[in-house]
Amino acid sequence: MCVSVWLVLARRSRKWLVALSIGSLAYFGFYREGCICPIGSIQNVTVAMIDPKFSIPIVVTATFVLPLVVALFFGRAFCGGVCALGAIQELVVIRPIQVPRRLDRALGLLKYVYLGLAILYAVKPALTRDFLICRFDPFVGLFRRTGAPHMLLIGGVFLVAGTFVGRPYCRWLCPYGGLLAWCTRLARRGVTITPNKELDCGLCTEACPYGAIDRMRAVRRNCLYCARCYAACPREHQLVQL
Amino acid sequence: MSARRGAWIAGSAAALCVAILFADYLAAARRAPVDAGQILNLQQQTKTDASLAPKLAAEHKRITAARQARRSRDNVVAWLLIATAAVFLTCIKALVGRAPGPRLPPKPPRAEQRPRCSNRLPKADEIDLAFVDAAIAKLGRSREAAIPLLQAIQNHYRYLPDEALRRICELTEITAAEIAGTSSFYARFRRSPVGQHVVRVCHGTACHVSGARQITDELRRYLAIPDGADTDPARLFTLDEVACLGCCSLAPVLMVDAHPAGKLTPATACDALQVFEPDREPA
Repeated sequence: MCVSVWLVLARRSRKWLVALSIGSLAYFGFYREGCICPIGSIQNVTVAMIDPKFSIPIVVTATFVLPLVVALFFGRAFCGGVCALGAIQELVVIRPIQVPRRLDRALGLLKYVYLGLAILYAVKPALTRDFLICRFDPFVGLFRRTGAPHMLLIGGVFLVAGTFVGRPYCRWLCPYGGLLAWCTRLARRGVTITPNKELDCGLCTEACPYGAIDRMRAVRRNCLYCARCYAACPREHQLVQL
Repeated sequence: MSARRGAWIAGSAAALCVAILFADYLAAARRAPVDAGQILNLQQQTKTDASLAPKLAAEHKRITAARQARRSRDNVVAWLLIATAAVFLTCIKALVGRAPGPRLPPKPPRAEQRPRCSNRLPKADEIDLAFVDAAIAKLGRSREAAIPLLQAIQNHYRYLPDEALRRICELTEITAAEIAGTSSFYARFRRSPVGQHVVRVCHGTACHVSGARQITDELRRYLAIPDGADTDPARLFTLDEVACLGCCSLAPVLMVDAHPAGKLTPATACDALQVFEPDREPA
């Protein structure tokens, strides 16, 4: 995660971030088979808080807390180069369209509903307890190359849709993204489009597939740390060339 | 185009993998109830006839083996699918990257690499003043002829050469002060030599708010126009800031001679000039 922060904020390098995403996808996705991830750890942590008999390993707590702490300072760096679910969607983006801002915002509320439902089901008594996030994780089936056919199908649909709409799951459904978005409100440093360095030309706004650049300024709670804005910036190219 | 062929091959391979997995799934889904029925049947029979027990065990073994085989087969196909999908994505991205997306501006030539002032425009003493004489003969020598004279001269030389103005003072009633006053009052008259093409950048309200200032700055940088001047050293482009070009819906907008270009960004503004690039002298 620190590498991700460094690559984006200091190097502003998209190329290396893509490499990091591929690495994360291979390790957290295909090698660890999508477990444990902070998104699912919401439920484990909730249950641990409610149920004294349910103990969770320190690793799970760490995976839950660390991205949030980083988000407190730097924004959603976890989403950019570390999250396997994010990485697989990040890599399939081919020609993203800009989703109308209103629709984007309305759909973005879904993730809070999802978060609420997930917590609600997780705090139920042990027998009726259900880990919704894990059960309806669209990509974990792909990582494990097996799973319920309908979830595999949904995962495929998400990926195909993801070629045109940037990271639909991350933006509109990911419950952990909702928590991260809250944390970024306090972030002091993050992806910024600085008025003095850049040209205000708007190329970054067009390059951002996630609608995270509003009126030429980065919106920290939506920014998924993909560094496309920097990759598209003519000023950056100039700096590199000179 | 190898990327295109790669995309086709990888795409069809991925589709084939999906089809295999799907067909396999369908076959297994159809097979499952049949197998279950058979097992149930055998179990019922084994209860009455113990000699059927080995057959039941064999059947169990067969079904388990078939399922394991399917599992490992599907795993291989799934890995293949992932690999082909990765190749497909790489090829497609290469293709899309080549297509006209958000284009990046070419590296602007540095000032010292650019041609120095080429003196292609005639110097004052080289100017042929016969036109001024003819214009004076045609338009008259009175004070009222001042503006038509200046217009004629500007149309002919594309600016007002000092030499020509001095000639007017010599031949007509118009005084030097009047000429200086008139020629500096109207924005259409210009006293310094003009480039081959005039770039008019609109600075009206709509263009101003959509970044006309940034576009002008970028063009000045791109053309290496020194501070205080309005023409590049090669005298190809003269940059002019105008009040309004009357097409605010295209803001920010500029015109190169008579060709408008709208919805610009600093990068595309430089591209708009490149249409006239053949005129530019080789560095």
